[in-house]
Amino acid sequence: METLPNGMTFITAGFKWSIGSPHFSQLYTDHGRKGRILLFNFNTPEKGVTELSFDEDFDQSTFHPHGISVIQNKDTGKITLFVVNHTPDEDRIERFEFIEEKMMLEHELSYIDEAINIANDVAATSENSFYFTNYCYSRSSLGYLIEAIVLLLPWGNVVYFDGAHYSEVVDGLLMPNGILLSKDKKYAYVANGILSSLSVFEREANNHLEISQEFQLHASPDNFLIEPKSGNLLVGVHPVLHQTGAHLEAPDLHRAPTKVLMVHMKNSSFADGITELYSDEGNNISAGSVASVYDNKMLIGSVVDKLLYCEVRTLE
Amino acid sequence: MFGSAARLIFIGFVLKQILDYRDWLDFNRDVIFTVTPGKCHVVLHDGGSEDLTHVGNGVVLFSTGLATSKGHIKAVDLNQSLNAFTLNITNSPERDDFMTKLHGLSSWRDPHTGKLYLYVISHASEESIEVFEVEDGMNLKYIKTITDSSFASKFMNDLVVVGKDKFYISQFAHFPIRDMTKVNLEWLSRWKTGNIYYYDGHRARVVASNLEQPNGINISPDAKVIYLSEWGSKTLKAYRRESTNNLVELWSTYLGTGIDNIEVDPDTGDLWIGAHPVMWKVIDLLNIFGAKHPGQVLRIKMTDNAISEIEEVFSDDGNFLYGTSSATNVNGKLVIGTVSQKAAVCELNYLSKNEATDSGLLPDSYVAN
Repeated sequence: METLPNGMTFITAGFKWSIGSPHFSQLYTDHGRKGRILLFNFNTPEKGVTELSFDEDFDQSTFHPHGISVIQNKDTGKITLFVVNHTPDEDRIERFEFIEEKMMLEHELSYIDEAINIANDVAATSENSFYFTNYCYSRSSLGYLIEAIVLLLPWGNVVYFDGAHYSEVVDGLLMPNGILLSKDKKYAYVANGILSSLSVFEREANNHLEISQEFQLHASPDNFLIEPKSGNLLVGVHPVLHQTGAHLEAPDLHRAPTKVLMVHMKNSSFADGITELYSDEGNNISAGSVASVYDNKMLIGSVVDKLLYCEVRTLE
Repeated sequence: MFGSAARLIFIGFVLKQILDYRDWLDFNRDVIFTVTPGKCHVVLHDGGSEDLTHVGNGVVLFSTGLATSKGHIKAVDLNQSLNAFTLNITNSPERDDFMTKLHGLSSWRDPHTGKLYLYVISHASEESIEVFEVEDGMNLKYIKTITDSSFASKFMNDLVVVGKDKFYISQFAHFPIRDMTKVNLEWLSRWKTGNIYYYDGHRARVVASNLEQPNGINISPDAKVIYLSEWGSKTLKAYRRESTNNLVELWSTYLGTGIDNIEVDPDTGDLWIGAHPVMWKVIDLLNIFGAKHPGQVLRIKMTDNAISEIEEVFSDDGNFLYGTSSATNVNGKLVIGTVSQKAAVCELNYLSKNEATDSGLLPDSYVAN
């Protein structure tokens, strides 16, 4: 999910990717799930989430969204969404314009390239340029198991699209997950799933990323968002990874614990402390992956489970 | 062939003992998350507040001076200003070692006379329990000193009073506090040398033994169950009180953190426990080496004197408070005491309800976001 300064939050739902388990795929089909984008507004929480429609030309049947990045043009007010889409044939990054009057997403462009392998998250830098993370190299469930889980091969990377070309800016990553840019766009934050750490990169003039800090979280991070008042990083983490794995494989049988952490960032660039905002064994929400805080209210999203709306009373 | 197999098994066994010992000392625990229930204020700046208890009307008493020498009973009135003050003692005996190194305390109200008494363990020239009457206006009138030959030269930690001059008391170590080197070696050896004694008004006898550093001890609101923090093994134990005052173990639950003193909520039966999450840093409780020993407060919800849920209500990496040894919840405020340093009062902006929760619930159906 991502929240705009006006409280509008866009959420991707109906997650499914090619390296998931057959049991999960069967469950997905049995329950008639499909890929959707939901809208929630912190200013009108009682209205809940609204499912956004797509324009007629867009093929919704192959749409399985994952990571999302939303930017608003300061001059025109146009809201652009970049969404990672796992279609059965390949992974793409879709670009939409949000038409508020119609509660609709107008599909503008599909980014398709060899460089988009098994994409996880995307972070936009303009209306036609973005960074994205490739989670691993193999496209099958068995391949992923051998490559990443058994052999721990660091075949994930971060790629930058500058409007014309795709170029690899960081390589040798092991299961990089969420990616987010700092408010001033000078730093990039990448979640290292297996290594349980946050990597802070400095953006160079040529859009390459230079590692600035690796901060240990001792829990597997998923996606980041920035807490607007303090500039600190909010992250959904999986404290017990094998339970998260079991849950993702069979959500009808296993629950997984959720934690939401706030990482204190000095000057948006240096992590020096962690406050825990939410912790649950999985009874309320399983495998929470992202959290957004707006005016002492928090929305927690999960990979395949629920969406939770909370009050935050312990942050001053 | 069997010889080399036996050697391998032996080496494997030794390796496992080393790894288990390293894990017991929490060398792998280097990232401590901060958890605060709300804004926290320091009410005592140094001297420590090893044990505390709420005596009614928002008044909390602390025992101080464990790490130094001269101890005092201090108090904070949560209805008034958040600054601790020292209680006056009248009728004190003429002893040099009176009120030295105060440790566990327990308050008890006499059901016949309504008078409130305070019993506190003092590591004086011999292990003593000083008995006071708590008078209105927050004065302490000294009544007597209780000692017993069976524990006079040991290391006692905490007590819980069940009748006039009748109490259960935990014996933390065999060696006295004066002999810190031997106490540290005893603790590091992990030998189960600790006991719980029952003092019946005249003499003490052992009612539970083979314990690893028994620490905090308290009693359920219905006075039927005694709770014990077995600090060395990071385990919470419960015992049933027999009519003879003997103890029979009911259950023992591993909590994975160095639990210290226990306070019991008289209405809900919740346990509030101060804990030390990183065992090896306890060596530096006086912060001489700057090890920054983290602090933690647990709230344990009980149903029928059995654990139903465990919550971490406070966690700090040592920057704000370290050596958290005791905690209690009074009217929406969390009071936290430490072994050698500060005492603090935090707002409890959120406290989850105390209803028994079903564990192992299957999700209703596979629900999409």
